[in-house]
Amino acid sequence: MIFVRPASIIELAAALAEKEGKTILAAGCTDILPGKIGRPWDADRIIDLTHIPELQQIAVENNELFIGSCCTHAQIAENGLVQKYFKALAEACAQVGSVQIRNRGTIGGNVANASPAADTMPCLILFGAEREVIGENGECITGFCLPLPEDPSADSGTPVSAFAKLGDRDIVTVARIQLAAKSVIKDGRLSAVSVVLGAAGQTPYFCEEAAQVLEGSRAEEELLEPFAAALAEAIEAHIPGRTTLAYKRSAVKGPAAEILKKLSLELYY
Amino acid sequence: MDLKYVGKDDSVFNTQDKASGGALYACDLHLPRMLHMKLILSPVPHGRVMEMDVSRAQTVPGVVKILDWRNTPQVKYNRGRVRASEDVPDQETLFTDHVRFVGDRIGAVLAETKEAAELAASFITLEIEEYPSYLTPQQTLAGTQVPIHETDEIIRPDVIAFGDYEADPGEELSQLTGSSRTTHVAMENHCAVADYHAGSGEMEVWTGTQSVFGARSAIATIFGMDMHKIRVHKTPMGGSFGCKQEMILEPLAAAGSVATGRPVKLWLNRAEVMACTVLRHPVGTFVRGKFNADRKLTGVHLDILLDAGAYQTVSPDYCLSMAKKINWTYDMDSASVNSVSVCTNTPVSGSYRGWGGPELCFAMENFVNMAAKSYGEDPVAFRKKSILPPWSVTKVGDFNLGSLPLAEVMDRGAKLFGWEEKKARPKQDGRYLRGIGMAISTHTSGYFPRRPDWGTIVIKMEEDGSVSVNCNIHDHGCGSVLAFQKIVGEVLSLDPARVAVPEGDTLYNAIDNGCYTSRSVFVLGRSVMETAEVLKGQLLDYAQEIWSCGRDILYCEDEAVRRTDDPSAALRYTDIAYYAADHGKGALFAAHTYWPESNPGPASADFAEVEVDTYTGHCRLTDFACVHDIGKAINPEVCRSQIGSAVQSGAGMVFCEEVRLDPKTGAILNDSLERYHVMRAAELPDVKVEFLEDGTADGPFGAKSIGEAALVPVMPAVLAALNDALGSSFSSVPVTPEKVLAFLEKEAGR
Amino acid sequence: MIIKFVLNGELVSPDLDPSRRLIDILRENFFLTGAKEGCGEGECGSCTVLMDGLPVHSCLVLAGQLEGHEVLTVEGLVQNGELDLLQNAFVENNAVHCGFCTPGMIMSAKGLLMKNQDPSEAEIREALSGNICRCSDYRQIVMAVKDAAKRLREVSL
Repeated sequence: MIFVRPASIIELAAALAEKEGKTILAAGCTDILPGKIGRPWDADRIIDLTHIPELQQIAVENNELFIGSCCTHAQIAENGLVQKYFKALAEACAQVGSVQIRNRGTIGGNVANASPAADTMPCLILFGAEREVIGENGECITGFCLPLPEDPSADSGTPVSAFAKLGDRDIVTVARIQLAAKSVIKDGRLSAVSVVLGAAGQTPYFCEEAAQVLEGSRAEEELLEPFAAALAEAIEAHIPGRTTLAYKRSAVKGPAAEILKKLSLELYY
Repeated sequence: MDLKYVGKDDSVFNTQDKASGGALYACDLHLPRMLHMKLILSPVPHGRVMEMDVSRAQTVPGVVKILDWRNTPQVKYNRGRVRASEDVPDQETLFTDHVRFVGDRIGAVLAETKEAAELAASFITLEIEEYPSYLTPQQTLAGTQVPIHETDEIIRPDVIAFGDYEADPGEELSQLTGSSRTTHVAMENHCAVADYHAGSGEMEVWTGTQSVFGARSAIATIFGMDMHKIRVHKTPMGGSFGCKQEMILEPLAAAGSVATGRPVKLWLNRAEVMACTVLRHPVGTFVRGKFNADRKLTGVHLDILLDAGAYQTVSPDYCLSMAKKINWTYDMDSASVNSVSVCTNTPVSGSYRGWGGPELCFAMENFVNMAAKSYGEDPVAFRKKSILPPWSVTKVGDFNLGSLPLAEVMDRGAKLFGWEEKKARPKQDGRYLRGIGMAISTHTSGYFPRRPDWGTIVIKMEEDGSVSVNCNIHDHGCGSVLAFQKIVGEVLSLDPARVAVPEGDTLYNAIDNGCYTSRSVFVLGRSVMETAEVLKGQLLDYAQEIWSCGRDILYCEDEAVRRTDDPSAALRYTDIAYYAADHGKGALFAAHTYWPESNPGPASADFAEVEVDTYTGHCRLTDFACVHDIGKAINPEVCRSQIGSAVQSGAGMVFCEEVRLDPKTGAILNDSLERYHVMRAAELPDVKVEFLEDGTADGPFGAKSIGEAALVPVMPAVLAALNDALGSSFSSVPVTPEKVLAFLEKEAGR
Repeated sequence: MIIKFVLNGELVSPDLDPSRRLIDILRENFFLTGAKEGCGEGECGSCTVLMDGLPVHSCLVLAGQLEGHEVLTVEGLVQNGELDLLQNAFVENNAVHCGFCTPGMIMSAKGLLMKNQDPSEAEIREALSGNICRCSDYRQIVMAVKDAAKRLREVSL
């Protein structure tokens, strides 16, 4: 087993370029180490990504927020820039696993592990994040670029976003449904609403019909039924015949209500 | 009586080692030349291993030996047998080629490191002829084409009955109650270390067990060894809840050590703990009950179906344990209990905290709650018509149940919980619905009179006045050692920190029944108390001799014998110890046996409030109150955590705890804590607890049991609250969010 | 591979297989058996230690990743044979039962108190939800953390 610990992006690129057999990229290890009690590695090489300062940065660059792939969920949840511009992402990160998992698990790992229940994915999709990669085949994610919303003004309005998650229970749980929404508050109403559903299909997806329900509204309580119904339809279309469908179709009302509530709070405060 | 230590919250002297990380559990032990053992488990539910290819495994560096059914004793045993003479079905062997469930033991790899053992085990290939499998009791009862066992595949224990239920003219109600498999989730995974010395023929074992004598007896039987050559130590135990009361790992580690002549550690990971130790029984109970014109319960008839899993082990006795409790709570003219314990090609079912008590209570209390509802009566008032009065003699087993304050625990519980106030609240609608429910129970405090019971104790005083107690105690982590320290400290007026109570050790302890059936404090605690009194008598004897005074003026206080006629006079215990030695009296040493002649059933009443999220089906326990008739709480705060832990697992079993099996293979689908949920800190309310301490029981300072009893009424109370919230009549658990939403949809569609 | 890191306040540089887990290194190389293996998948919290002041699962950290980091285990809280304030609060509030979850629970609580010296009950329960205790309803543990927080605030006044 070869263990490589690059200290910079350049060293990482060099390590990736070397062909050393089967390679594992290790960051927070919250997906690759579970269950590895005395178990041998099915790999020839581990490249550790946790000693590369560039990958741990969160910074504004050219109207974009760059989030390094090895930023932990805790780091993102607590970051002022993320909270300011991409609140839904901060909320999603704050709900990943437990404190310990959030202190180790990284956003890059969350995406790379490609679980349909990855909590950051719906938000990254919602905000139109671009992935930055290196390696011959782009095998290593180095970060995500999220286009900054326009600064609040009377003309452009105030950008808002929210995230809600439903698991088997309320805490330390794997998502069964995720809901991420963003909008711009203009003249006291929601406009340019987008809604992404996660964990209810192979990958997260936009739900246009649900967004339309909220468009131009004040996120009134009465919208819950049609909002949830639109989401239920989308779920049905994405996981037809699945045993979990009946539950998810109906339970989506929970996260839908949470999103409505969060958006209405943004409207009124 | 003014008590100095008993009844006070103080565990400081007992827990520092654990808080510092210094306490050594079996998994922390490391012996020179120690090997690691990895089990090879069946991947199929039922079949015959035709070939096991170990050639590649043997090439792994560090592999020392590979065991299987061909090179280990094939003695059949029962993991639940504590004493070698017990008559229980023998169906299990160390390893088997006739595999009976996914997870059955075929063999084991012994290697220098756990990594080498793991790697080698992964290289072993098996050729198995698959047999038809029977994954539910119904399938087995329909007849097995290839028997799971030649004998005792299905066991129907004796019917427990009195009166003539069928002749009772009362109105009959009935209900079917069911519960699923659960796993104990003791935080410490099972682990045993065995060290066999071929030269001397001596075997030493370290294990977190509930009975070192049980482990010894299993090893002696399987390996044909003399018992005096087997020394089993009980290590600190990271929780049991019943999962460490059966002899599962000890014989296996012993087999590894016998085969290699080296110390062997067998540690199971969480998935293995779930697959191949023991799970809580799936049980279905059909209750029929009759009520007279006043709606008092007059008789019951129960049909119990227990899924034993692949081996009968303790299941037949479990049936009896349920049945024998039928007349501990409600007064009735007739009762009959039929039960059947059925083997299936699924993981082995067995001991769980309460041993049939919670299972019976769940069925009975669900039934009573259903009956109260169908008669439109308040559950508390409804029960009062049918409960046994204090000092009742049970019609099964014919013994007195003690002060049995069932009405009092209900009344106090209702008050503590705010039952009437909560009941008077208007019914809400909207997203969240709240409901309340309650249940009562009686449990046991020992074996009497079902089985001979006793406690043989030796206490010695060291020359500095500190004390060592030799008692076959097995602390599960719930503080029984602490309780015993306090009992001795109280009797001798000695700081409990100066009392050593080492745990189970077969070399020194007198033979004992083990830490079962809630007997520790009631039986052994009383034995320890009496023995301390014998020792105190010796101290007084010598003081009397030294002072040449009357006995009646002497008393013990603060580690000294003192006299009422001279407050300044004191003979410190250390002075007496030296006096005894210097005058040829011998050591300060008392050996004593106590035989219990009673078995008071602690009464409990639990009250729960549950909130249901009708959007998501999530249920939350929002309030819980328990009044428990403990007799005397030796260490109240630790007793409170017993109730707390019971609420955690009992509510968990109603909401989420469930081991799910693959319907095709019986393999566990959720064999990890990521997929098997227990309730977490943020999901639990602050549980309100009150103890009833009438001090009438024969236990030390009047104590009755609590550990198992705490769990008994939790599930039905929580389920009743859930049903009240929803207006539903769920009688099987867990009630998952899916089931809640399905129910609501069905209601809405009506 | 030589890996330099700070373990319980002391700079160490053992030669380790970097692909092994921190929990194995602690338990088998340093014989610090306070961190316990309860699940091996980051669910039970029994193996929690602090890494650079943050609670992490030692079963989910690779030895090779330790370079330059600080690891604090439950044993490291003991100074000159004396339990620290938080450990004492656990002991004195009857928060230690079977003791198996205790080291991890204490380290999670330590992490919380390093960030927040005045946590609410809800914050404590949330912070400890990554640690499973089966011997209680967490009541005594929550009391211990509250008590420790109070004592810490008194000390820092």
